[in-house]
Amino acid sequence: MNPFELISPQLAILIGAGLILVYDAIFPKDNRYLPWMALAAIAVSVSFAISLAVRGEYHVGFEGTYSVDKFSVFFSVVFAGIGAAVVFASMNWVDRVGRRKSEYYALLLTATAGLMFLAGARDLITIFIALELSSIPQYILAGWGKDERSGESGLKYLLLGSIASALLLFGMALLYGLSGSTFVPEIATFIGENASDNRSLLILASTLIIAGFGFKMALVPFQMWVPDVYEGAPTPVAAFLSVGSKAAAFAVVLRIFFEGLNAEILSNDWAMIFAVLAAISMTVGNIFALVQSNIKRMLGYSSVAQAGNFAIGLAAIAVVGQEFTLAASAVLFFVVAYAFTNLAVFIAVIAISRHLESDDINAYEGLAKSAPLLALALGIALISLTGIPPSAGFWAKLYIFNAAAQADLAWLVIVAVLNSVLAAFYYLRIVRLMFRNVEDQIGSAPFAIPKSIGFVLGITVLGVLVFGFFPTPIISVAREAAAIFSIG
Amino acid sequence: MIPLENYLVLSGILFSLGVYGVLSRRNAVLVLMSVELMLNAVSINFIAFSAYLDVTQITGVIFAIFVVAVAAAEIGLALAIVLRIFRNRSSINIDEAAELKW
Amino acid sequence: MITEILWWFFAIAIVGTAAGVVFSRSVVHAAIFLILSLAGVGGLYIFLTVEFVALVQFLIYGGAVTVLILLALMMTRLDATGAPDKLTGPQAPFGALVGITLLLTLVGVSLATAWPGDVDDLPTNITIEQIGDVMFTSYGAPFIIASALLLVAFIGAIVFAKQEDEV
Repeated sequence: MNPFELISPQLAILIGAGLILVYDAIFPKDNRYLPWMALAAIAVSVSFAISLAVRGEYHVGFEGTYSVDKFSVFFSVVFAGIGAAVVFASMNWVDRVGRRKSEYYALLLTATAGLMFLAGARDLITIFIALELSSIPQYILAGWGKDERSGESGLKYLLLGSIASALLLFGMALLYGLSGSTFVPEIATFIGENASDNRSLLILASTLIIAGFGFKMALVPFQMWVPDVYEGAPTPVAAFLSVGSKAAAFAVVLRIFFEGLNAEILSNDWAMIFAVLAAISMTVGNIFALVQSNIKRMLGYSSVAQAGNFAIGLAAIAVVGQEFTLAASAVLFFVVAYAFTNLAVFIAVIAISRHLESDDINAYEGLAKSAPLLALALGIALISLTGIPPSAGFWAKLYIFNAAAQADLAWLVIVAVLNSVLAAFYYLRIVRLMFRNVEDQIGSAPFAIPKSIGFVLGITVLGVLVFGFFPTPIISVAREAAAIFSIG
Repeated sequence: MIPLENYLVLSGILFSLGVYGVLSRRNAVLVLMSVELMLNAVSINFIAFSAYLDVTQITGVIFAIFVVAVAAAEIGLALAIVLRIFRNRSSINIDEAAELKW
Repeated sequence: MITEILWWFFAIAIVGTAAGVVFSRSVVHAAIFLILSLAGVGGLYIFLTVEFVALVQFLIYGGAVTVLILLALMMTRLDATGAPDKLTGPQAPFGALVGITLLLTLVGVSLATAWPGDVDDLPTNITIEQIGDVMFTSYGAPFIIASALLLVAFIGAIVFAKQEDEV
């Protein structure tokens, strides 16, 4: 099979990005169609990815360094969906900023393509370079806003991101030196035979790799960029960071650790690392989120806490060892539920702060009166983030806790449940504020929600509810996608 | 004949110096320079491993070339941002980075 | 014998100049130390028989990157504004602690590990032809990605460097 056919979904997006730039160069005055071109590119890409899956064309290309399997198709579609949602969410903001529209959409598309490459990468070189392709546009986009803060958050993100890359690379170099290969399955073979002789080196290498990805996932103690970048970056970009790059980092960690480094003697070490990081991330994230008064900073810390929830799944997978399809599918389900929920929250925040011109949580008081639908949407999304039924977030948490309980991580489940209670305080505080009855307030002028934002907010909230009532289809898809790990 | 361990120790020293620089420097450009030291330590590792371990394949060399490409892209971008921030504020010390706090 | 002496000369030069980069009290001095250190690393690659990468190192790091850094320093007039003691923050002891711990761990683990292919003879020179061969077959995908990445970084640098009012 032609290797270019395997990466056709990504190529479609990259070509779309190029066309947007060229179109803008030829018709600089006419930029109404740019977001639609971006959406068209994403649509073409999804159709390519699905057609690969439908034809059952599961192949490896480029001498094994890139693979199309159910796992990569699953994540490609998720990332494309996230990209499309962020394009919708950005339209209004980009129009108001009113400059460099084509570059904005082109960068957003490239970042999406980078995430999709990550999903299928099976070689350390491809993983590294795909990670950079998704990160560099995000550094640029984080600094896109006009104010000083945005530039600073871009610089901060870039500096910390490149430090993280260096740590990651050092870990990869040690792994390569030991196994003589950068190809994940070959590393797996080597580790399967020689893990016990080189345990200390493998632990060092994996610690460095976890540190590198920990930055992307926003796990404590690698979370210091999160609140600043979320606050400084434009809100649509923050939405992309919080959902896209986090999910991609977890996809790659699943690949490296559970396809490559899954020797029995080591998996308990990973499990410990991930379990401890999960517990610390949840606790630190939630405690700091409690005291924030800026909604974007609060969402930043909340995303740290959510990363902790993801890491519970990773720990569970590592403990169970070879029989981990349940836990792996729990992580995949969590990715989908989290994507819908968090996108809904961010999009609602975009719409609200556009009107209030403030990110202060207290300004949300009495919102239900002036914008009932918006308040309802944000309320549903926040309930899903807390994990209250019937919402997608509830099933995601239940699924992950169940996987952890089966992996004998009862202490971690207890910590997680306590943390959910803690999280309920600040999530539900916003809901209570919004639905409080206030007689007289500034925001009572009628709310105008741009059509694009309303549309994508509706879709995401609908997703949260539909998966809340009928989680079975997406669970079975997640099981299918996670099944590739049980063979290896 | 230089043993492989020599290269590994050298790259370890270089990497640790880079980490020290990253953690203790306040100036964005100096932090970037320290990151370059870290990346070079990584490249030494890759190329030494490639030469000593992987005689038939040269994966490590390829990896090092990609690392150089990415490092160049990152530093170009970082300096562009530094210039823009400087135009706005006349200082590039990262902990003076105005209102953004921990 | 000569090789050994030369190697040690390069190694000490690299470490010394790298220390200069992180300890120097002047930004411009640090940048010049960085040039020397990166050039030294390029020299090291010649010992490892990869002249092509050594060349890349000299061109990209020794040429492009360091010139860029010096240019940025010049345009931000850093040396004139910053008092030298402001270059290192109060967190330096913490950084030193982390650095020393990391150093001991890396060196300890590297020395304790039995690296599988510790050969006695280095391979003969790795030619550009060999590199190209692998680069465009096995690593075709990363090559495509890298091309997109460089374009993106280029766009980003233009976006940031352009004055706001010119759009």
